[in-house]
Amino acid sequence: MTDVPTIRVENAVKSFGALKAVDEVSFDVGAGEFLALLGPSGCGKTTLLRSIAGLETLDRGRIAIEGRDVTGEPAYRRPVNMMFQSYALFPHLTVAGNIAFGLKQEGLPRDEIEKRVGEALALVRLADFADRRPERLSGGQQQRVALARALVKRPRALLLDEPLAALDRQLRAATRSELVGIQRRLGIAFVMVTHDQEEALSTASRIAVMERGRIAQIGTAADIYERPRNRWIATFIGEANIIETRRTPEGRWRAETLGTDLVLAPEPVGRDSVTLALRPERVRIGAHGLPNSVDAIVVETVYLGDRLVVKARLASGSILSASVAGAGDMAARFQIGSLLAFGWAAEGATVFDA
Amino acid sequence: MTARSVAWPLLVALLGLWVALFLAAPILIVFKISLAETRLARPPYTPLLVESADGWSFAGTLANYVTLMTDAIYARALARSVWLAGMSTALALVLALPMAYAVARASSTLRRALLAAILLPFWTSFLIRVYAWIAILKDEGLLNAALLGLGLIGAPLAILNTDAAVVIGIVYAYLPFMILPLYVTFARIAPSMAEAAADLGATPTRTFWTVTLPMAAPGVVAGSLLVFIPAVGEAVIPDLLGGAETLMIGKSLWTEFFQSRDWPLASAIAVLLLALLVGPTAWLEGRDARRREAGSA
Repeated sequence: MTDVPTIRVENAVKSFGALKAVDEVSFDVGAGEFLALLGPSGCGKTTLLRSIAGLETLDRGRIAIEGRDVTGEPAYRRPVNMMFQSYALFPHLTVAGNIAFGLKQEGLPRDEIEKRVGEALALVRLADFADRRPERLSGGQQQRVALARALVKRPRALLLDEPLAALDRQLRAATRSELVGIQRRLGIAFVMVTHDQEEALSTASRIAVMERGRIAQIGTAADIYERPRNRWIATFIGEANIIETRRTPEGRWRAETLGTDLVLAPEPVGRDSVTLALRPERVRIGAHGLPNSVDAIVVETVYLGDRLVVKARLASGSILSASVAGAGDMAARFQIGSLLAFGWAAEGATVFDA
Repeated sequence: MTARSVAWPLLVALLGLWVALFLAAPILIVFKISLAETRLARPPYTPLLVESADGWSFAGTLANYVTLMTDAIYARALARSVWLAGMSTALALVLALPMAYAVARASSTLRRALLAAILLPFWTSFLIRVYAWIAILKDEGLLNAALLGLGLIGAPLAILNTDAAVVIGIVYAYLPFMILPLYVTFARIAPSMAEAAADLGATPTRTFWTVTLPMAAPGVVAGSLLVFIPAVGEAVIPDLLGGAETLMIGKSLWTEFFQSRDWPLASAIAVLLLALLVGPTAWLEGRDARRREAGSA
């Protein structure tokens, strides 16, 4: 990584009427980094991506690409390219014509354009389709044309708006790893907008979780999954049992909904109440000798192939989820109505500020 | 689906009846008259089938078509019509492109107002609107008064009773027919097309010429045909705004029909005009369809 980030966003603000779509957002994208902007619909992630592309004008803030301030520059002068969610292929041009479009704007000589279009077609394995019209291609092929059209410009960074959303499930997994492969090979920065946490976790080297126009947390997939900064992130990325605790006069942490005291690690300092997020896979069923343990009655089991989710009701009426990984049909071991012990290590639960 | 299957034959029959009564039958009648000869009677043309001692015999003639081919005045009138209609179509296209684009890109409230404004002139009679242009274009008319007042010209321009006046009249009268199909195609182009072009480095001007306009080609063709076809046969505008030397085929038809009372010759002009206009239109439509097919190759 060089010292100058490929993309730097500083205090970006963009409103649509009363709605603040992007609210004081700052972050860097390093050279060769794959950053995912992850969030629910309407969180401002697409507006942020479009602002980097130059398709939206920021109300305030600054965007720099490789150290050059591009805040006031129109889209057609910015050295980044975008892959649109709808692909936005030109229907009146062939596949080769679509890919050549951006190179023609640069005024490159004809043979240079031809050579680079050929390379781009080979990169996305569409050499045989050069003379077809986009409408005669499958969704997956259209997606690859869109990718080739953006990459052929050799952008400093590629911006991807929900690149896999229009593909069916099977194709999505294959395309995802292809995308990661291409990104590694070319070594350019990718910024991808997605609402799909699995997509973000499996592709990005860093994830920025967005909520209501702000970046709630930015970090590696493991950072965000294992150490979510607040309860919203904990429940948005993966599943979590949210547990409220209160410090008793004796200095113990009381969880009313569980009807028990808990051991927390690290021990919160100087606070009277904390919230915990406990991932279902951190919960052991029927295990003894763990510092935290509650008894609960199994009310539902959900078999998901690679794991089994067990939902159990506590004496207080609240529900605790546990997930058991491993092969085989294990539902028989967790009969509905049976009373079992659910336990977890002190480090198994993440402690939040609030 | 069931509702459609019951009503479907009825709808097709209705459409078929309409076409037969108001399109096919009149054309056949006009074609029949075009094969007759003129005479001073009611109707003012000879019958096609004549009864004699030997029974019925066919009395049609191609003499009217021969007249049209041999008398240079009709060829000149047709050439003039095509030229003036072509000029008017080109001018209307140039004027309509920015207008249609603006309407398509306007906010929904403004768009409704603009569309209403485009259609508003139809609330007044076509004839009155053409007459109004006489008041604008004549030597002491509004246009000359304005130009003189601004000091742009020293003496009034003679516009009325020239080809220029005819072109102005046609462009004015048929502009909405150019704007509307263009607007529809522009509106159908996704905003992401222009965004993608910009993202790939195209300036707004380049984007318009290389993406927006090519994608609007069907609208350009449709609008041009909607202006060109009626303009070629236009009779009222050249009659009111054109000069004595403005010879247009529609006016010739009008003259033959109402002044010379030569119905067969007028009918022959109508049939020829129809054939000349339907041919290229069908070819254009066919080419469009073939192009769409070619995408699969």
